[in-house]
Amino acid sequence: MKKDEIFEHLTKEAQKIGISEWDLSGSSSLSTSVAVMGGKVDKIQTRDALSFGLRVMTKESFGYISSSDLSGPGLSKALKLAKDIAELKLTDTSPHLTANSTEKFAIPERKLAPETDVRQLSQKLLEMEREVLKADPAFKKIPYNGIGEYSGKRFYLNSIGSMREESFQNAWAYLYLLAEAEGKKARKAYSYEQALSFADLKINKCVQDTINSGKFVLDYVPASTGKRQVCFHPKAFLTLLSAFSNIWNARLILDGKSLVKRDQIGATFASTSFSLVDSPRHPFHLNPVWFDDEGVKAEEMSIFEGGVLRNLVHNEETARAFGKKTTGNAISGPRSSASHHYLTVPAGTREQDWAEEQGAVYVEELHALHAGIQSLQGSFSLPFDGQIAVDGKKRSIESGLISGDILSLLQNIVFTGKTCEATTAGYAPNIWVDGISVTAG
Amino acid sequence: MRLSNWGTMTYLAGGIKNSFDHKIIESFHDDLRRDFGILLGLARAAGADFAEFFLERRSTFRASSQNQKIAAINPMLETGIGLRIRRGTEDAFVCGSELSLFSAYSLLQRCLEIAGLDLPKNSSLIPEVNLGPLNDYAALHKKLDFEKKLPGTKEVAERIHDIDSKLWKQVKFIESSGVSAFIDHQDILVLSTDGVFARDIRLNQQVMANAYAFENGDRCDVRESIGGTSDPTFLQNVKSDVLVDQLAKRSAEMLHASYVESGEYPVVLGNGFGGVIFHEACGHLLETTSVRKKSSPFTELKGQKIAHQAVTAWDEGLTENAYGSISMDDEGMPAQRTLLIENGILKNFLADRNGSLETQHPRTGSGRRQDYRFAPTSRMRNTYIQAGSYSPEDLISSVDKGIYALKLGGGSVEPTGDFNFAIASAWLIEKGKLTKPLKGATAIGKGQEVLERISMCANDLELVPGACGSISGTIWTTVGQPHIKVDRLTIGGR
Repeated sequence: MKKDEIFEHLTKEAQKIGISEWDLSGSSSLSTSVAVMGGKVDKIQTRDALSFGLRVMTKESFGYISSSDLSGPGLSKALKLAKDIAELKLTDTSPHLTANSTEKFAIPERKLAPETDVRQLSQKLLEMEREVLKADPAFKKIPYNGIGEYSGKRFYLNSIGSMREESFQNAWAYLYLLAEAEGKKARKAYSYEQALSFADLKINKCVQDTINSGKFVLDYVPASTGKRQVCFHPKAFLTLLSAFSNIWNARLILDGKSLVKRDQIGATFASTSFSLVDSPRHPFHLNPVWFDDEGVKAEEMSIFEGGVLRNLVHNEETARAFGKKTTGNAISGPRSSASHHYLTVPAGTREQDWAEEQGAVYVEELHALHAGIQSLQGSFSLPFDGQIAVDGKKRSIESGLISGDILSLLQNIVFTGKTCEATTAGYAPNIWVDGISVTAG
Repeated sequence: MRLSNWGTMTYLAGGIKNSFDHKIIESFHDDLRRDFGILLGLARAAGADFAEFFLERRSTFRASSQNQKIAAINPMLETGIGLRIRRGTEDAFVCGSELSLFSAYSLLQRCLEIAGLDLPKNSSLIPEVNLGPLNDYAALHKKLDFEKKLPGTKEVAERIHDIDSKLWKQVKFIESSGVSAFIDHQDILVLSTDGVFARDIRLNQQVMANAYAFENGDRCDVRESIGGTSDPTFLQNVKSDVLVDQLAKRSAEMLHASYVESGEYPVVLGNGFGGVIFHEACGHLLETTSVRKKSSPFTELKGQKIAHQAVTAWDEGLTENAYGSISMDDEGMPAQRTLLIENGILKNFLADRNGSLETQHPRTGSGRRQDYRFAPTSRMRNTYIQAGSYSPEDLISSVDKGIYALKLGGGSVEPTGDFNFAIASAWLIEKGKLTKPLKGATAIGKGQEVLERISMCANDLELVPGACGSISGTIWTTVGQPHIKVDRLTIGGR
């Protein structure tokens, strides 16, 4: 069904069973991916996905259901189930539609690139595999690899006439190489590239980065255990910070599931050199976000300013509880919540080669966040891929773990670099932090 | 094998709506045999070496209580079809959410296309795949009425609210809490060109609880979960007092615990969830998914010693009510019991259909997938180290200075075998005694090295439920072990 047909169907069905307030948020997507192994195509996959969440709101309560059936009977069934749940009045929250959801603004139409033939994708990945494996005798296999495309639409509709839709699209390629040299431990080297479409993908960069990284990691040295200044790559820093996003999440603060209390908005949590902005339509964000899951326009918002926590991400209900305006960060779900869109850290004024100081550590990528993050305790203990400065040279670290407390980390930011980089986790410069505990693996 | 004249089936090309229509397949029954026999016949006639449909109807229900208030109720309804086709060494997979014959036919067209194949011409003779009678494990194991026997929304909400309230009475310095219940009812049908026509119903349920305590700047978040399989009365029978007592005790111990000092220690790993290290650092490397890529260090070591002789380990799908138990795997093969390691010697790998074809290791009923959106691959079920003869106290008393990792959090392993695990609750061992609680610890190591260092296994094997994420999605599994002693392990701390 098209979105105006869905709207008409839901409006009619809602009237029939006495529902006056409802909304629906969902997405449909098509993804294609290919993996290769030892010079042959291994797997080709195409996934057609559709999912939506439907909310029915009453004066004191609401019901929510998720489903993948957007047919007429499927929608009617979902509506009835959501109404039944709302009528039980079990939950402690009562979200409502917001008039902001009908605010008029233009969402630019995006012309999506046509789907690439899977044979073209596989040929390209086979070439990539071949190029990397012939670059060094130590490069024995690329057990994990992939190339693919993903495109689709997000949509939002509600009973007061909001009807929004935006497209998204991206293409990606990655290589995960195992390098095995005589007398050395097996080492991994990884490179990931993404772009709006297959034609835009920097395939050569992905190949060259994997080769360079594969050679670099074979020359490894152990990390030394102790507390030291660490320089975080933008992706590593933003990945870590995002795992503690309860700090600026109004829902979690209200629920007592945050490191921050309600009366601490406006307090200083970080070094004065640190600022953080949520930027839904940042020029480097591949898929700009125009509206949230309540149909409200997403806007740029400062979260930290000179170390001070200035703003939280809100949905309609949390904004009401805080006496604020909703920020366009709503997330659809059985408990109305909110989330940032695209984090950016403004560039600082100082640039420094992290390797100038003997023993300095550069954290490039963090792993196992699901296991090593205690988001309510504020602690982290995570394995990382990185480098260490030895006599002015950058050497690969054999294996290591960083640990600490996120609030201490924010206070111990020494400075942020001058040059920002776009990553899958957001846009930021290198960030130098003191007093991080490093353990050799 | 029956032969159908393609001429009598021209409606496939010209009149799909009349034959394979959009009508939703409401239940999985024997009558589907003929239609899918034709579709599978088409796949084979097109040049596929193997084709398999996976039909799914799933309903999940999640309810959560936070700080003694019901926070969320979320029913979810999902249906879909996954189709994979193998041609030579190449696998093509497609999926869609419409559960109808039209969708199955469209997916077949799409899958053949990406596999580089075409539907046969109208004049071709199509040998229909002759599927046998439905092998209905759901009926055989009396699972057909599971859904009807499940508790209602209000009853589930009251149950979790009750547990949540008990947390606030028993956990000292509690600041926030969360209790959730999860019910997963999955009805599946597998049909393939090798004659498989099998159905199963799976019911998995879980209760998870956490309490966050705060005092004098010290914070502590403790979590526990329990699960049950194939028991519709599971939620009614949850021993909530035991669950709450455990959390209250652990919170009291850990709130003011000291941070562990990084270094290498002898480590005693607690029973039950301690088995997650074996699951991650060894179990995944015994899946043919790793073996076929030759990325597992154990690839060529069948029949050789890979662990200390104290170690015997199993993976099986048969233990009653265990979270990883299945009547059949997602390729329609009945569950089995697989000996992985016996007295340190590698005995078997875990193989799905394709893994077996490519590695020549026998299939073990281990082809598993999250749902119709994923192609199956070799995965674990209930995986554990067998009990030994020592008591847990024997293990502790054998350590002069070391760590007792009572409760592990999650973790991960790299293809190189390097692993790391958060230790949620630990104690310092000094001169054979537990002296003080420790927090902020992480266990780091290499799977193959740690296996050599497991020198003692206690007699208290325990299985606990878990969820395992890998290339075929997230599936329900059990991890387990008795208390074990690892002679040397790197512990990361502050």
